[in-house]
Amino acid sequence: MKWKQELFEYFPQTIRKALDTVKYGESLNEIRLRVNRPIQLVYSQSEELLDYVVSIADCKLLLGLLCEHSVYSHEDDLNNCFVTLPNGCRVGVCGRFLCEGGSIKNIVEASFFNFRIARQCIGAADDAMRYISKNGRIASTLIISAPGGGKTTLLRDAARNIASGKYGKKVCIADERSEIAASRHGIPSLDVGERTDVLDACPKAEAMRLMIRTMSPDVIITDEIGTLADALAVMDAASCGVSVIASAHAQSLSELKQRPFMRELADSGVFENILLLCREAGRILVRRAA
Amino acid sequence: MRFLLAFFTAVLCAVFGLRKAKALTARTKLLGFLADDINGLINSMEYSRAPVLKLISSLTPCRAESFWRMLEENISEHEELHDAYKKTMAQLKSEKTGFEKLHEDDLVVLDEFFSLLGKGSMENERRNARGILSRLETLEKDARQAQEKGGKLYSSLGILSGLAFAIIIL
Repeated sequence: MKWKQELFEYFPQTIRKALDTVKYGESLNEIRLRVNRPIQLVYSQSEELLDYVVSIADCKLLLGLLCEHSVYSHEDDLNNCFVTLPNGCRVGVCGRFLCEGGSIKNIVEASFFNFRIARQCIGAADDAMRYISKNGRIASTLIISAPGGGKTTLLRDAARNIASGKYGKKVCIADERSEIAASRHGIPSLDVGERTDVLDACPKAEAMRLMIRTMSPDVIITDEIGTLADALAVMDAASCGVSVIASAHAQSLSELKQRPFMRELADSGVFENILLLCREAGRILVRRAA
Repeated sequence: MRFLLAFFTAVLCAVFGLRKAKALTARTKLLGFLADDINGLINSMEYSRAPVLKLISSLTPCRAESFWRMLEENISEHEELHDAYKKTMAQLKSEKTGFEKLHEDDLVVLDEFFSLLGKGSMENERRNARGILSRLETLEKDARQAQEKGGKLYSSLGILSGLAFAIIIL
């Protein structure tokens, strides 16, 4: 297992030992570590609690290893509660933060970690491409699902599809949280296509504007839109003749429309497709929501 | 025979005095080198935000070269940066590379710096470095004063006492 090799070097010896005893038969989605709690393994359809209880010392050591002993070099990511590892695995980090004037200044104690195993699922967007592609043209599409529904995996594969092979479009990814391309030091660690440019760790609304001005994209792909600035940037891109493929958290279209700004965006006609992802028997199904 | 004994006594005393004086010079030099390197490390940290290990391996000009090269090697073996520092210092002291000349006060300051290095935001790193550098500067100033006073004293005392013993023996 490639992910196991790559991920294990970031764990302290004690946790590594505990995780070594597990037989990873099923596809593992998350490894969750909580201080004074047992290690939780989350599979696609089940979960497992290990006997080993994570200590405060483990958490301190883990943060050091994740940041290569350099919290300052991951400061911006940590202030957004995550660290991206070179293999593309994203680690959510929670604990106690030092705040000043309502904004996060620094992480003081990290006590909860969520290792989300990033996998390149080639073909994950095949179903969705039936809707996204219309006579060789890429239609602006909004993909919605609950958290963990596979939106990012689908966006990544859609980028790979659109930027290579028969579509061959210029794709730009506004990857604010380094989740789609899993970039590390500006280099994508997952395959996002031959004609794809990635603007990493930049607020997505700003990233969309910058990319339109400088990279002349055919398609912009971005994850988890939800603010007024995001909605305006999407509308702006669409009015410039650029197709936008984006995702948002919601279990249904009606739920999406309950969120401020998303109703206006959904009703504006910017998105030709709104696709709903749902899991059935471990498979991700794509349905047209509107 | 008596002449030989007098000669060896004179040499022994002079060497003892000169070694004492050299130890004072070595401490002053080392403190200065480490302060310069720490300053360089923090400057490049601020500029590039690269991880500590990368900064250490590309530290130029590197004045306390043996210290940083050994630390670089030890970081990969240890899960904690502070542990790697402690091992490095122990190795350098046992190898008699001049680091054994550092005083307890000097080691406390360095220990404090490495126990906090890489653990905070850039602002914290800057603050930590600023405090440590000013303390190192004070220690270096004290060491220089001690060197200026004691250095000459030890070397002259060594030579003079050697001569005195030689005369007594003869």
